[in-house]
Amino acid sequence: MTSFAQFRKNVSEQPWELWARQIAAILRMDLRKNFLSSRGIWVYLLAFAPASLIFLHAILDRAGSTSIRTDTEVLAGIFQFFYLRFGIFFGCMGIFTWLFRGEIIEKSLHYYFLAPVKREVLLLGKFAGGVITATVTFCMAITSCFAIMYAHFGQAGQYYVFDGPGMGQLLAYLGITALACIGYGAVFLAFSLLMKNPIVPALLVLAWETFTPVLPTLAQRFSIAYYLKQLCPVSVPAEGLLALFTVVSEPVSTFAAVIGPLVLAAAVLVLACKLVHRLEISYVAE
Amino acid sequence: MAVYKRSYKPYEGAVTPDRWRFLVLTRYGFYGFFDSRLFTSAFVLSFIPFLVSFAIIYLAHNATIRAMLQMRGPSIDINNYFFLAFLGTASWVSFLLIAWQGPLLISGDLANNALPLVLGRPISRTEYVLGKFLVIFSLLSVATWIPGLVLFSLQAGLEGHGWIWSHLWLAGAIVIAAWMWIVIAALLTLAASAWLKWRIAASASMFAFFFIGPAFGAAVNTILGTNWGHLFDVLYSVKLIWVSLFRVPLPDAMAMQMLGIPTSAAWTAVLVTCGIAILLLNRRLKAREVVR
Repeated sequence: MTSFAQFRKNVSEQPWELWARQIAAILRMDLRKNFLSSRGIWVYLLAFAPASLIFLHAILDRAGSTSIRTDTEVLAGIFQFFYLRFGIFFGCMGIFTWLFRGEIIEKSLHYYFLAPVKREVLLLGKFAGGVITATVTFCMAITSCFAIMYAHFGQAGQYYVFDGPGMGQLLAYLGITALACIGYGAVFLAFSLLMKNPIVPALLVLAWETFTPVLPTLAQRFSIAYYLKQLCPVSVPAEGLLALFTVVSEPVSTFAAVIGPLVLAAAVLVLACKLVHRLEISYVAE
Repeated sequence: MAVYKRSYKPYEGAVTPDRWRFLVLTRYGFYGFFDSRLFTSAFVLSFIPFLVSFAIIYLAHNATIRAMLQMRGPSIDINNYFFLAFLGTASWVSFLLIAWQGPLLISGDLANNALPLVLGRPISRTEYVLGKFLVIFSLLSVATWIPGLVLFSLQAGLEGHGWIWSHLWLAGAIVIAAWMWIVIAALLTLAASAWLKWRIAASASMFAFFFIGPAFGAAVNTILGTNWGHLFDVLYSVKLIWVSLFRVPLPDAMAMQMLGIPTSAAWTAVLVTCGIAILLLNRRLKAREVVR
């Protein structure tokens, strides 16, 4: 039997159905905890804060002093500078570092570890829970920003969204948000397994993501923001000192920009699976 | 003496005066900080900006050494910009230290239900906060305004010719600017520490406060077409106040985009931030425990 056939046989013999059921069970528990606990209120506040501002703008701008083009640029700026750079980053940091560290703080991780569940399955279930929580929250927030921004233009706004480029832009924003949640989520999950205090490395990641535009193209390719920016439907020119030193890199194809964060997330998750295998619970140390 | 003959004897040593008992908390706060070797090393490294600035001032006044080191070109002008840059760097470095270790100060007491035990002793809630506050105040002082004044004295000594009298306002600016920053950092650290029992969450919330505030402020400015969004950015307010304290000329302040809001509004934003932090502390620190 060839090695490939042996591999296929091994794969087909794995209890996939059981693992899928276990992941679904973990997912249910985690989604209930993530969405319904009062601890998660700050994520909603963070995500929906710009929506409240846009609502205020819609009320104040009843006279229609701004154009759709201006507001599209404003929305693009908010997406790139608020959501992508800070909102989703800190939201994912809070959600994904809590997945395992939170169980340690609440002294409940041993229940999972004592159950007949493979640790890799547990990790994937929790990661899926985190991705769904973060993606749904931020996608809803961005959709509400989008809806409020164009609703106050009345017919013209409706035309822009449904018969113009609006819907495509919204779908692009939602896709980028999902990719950002997957990419940053995997990184923060791995950090939370690697060290007790993942804040310092998280800040280094933030610095890396902020300052990679001034680095050579090769270094930029190791940043999640590099791929996500390429997917943004409306480009917003950088301002300030950073813009002076920005290295304009060759754009990558849409396929590569989508695959980039996914490959990074997969690689980090493989590492996280190894880390969770070695994880020892010490409730005293937290 | 046989054991059965030993009876209770009250403590007869010197008693700490009532007024200074809260300093016990400060002392133990320091022990907690410097228990970590990593923190101690980082604290020592936080003096690098001071040492670099010290060397720059020395070199600026010593043409012989500059010639020995083959340093050409004009020497660095030691003026208000220099001290502003030093204070900015030192404040950021020290803030990183405090954000990392500071949340341990109160969260430990709350997580282990030790607060009623501490407040059961002759220490009031205000003294408790003051004791913890002094830990951060002392550490940040050692890293910011004290070295700032040392640099000022060095510059005054090397420059001579009455430089100290013509630039005395600079010493006042260093002290006021640093104290304002220390009060903000300390109160925010204590509030985060009191509300978030998990130290990592407390550290993260502090960083988030300083990073998301500017982002939200920028969003307010962009959407509503105003400059008042800067009020949500405490760092902007701090920078604005510093620029006015260090008497940065108007064109330079404009170049630094530091004219968005009036200085009085920046002071108000800082005071409101401190007030909210005190309110949060007041709400959280109670000498009782609710068991559900």
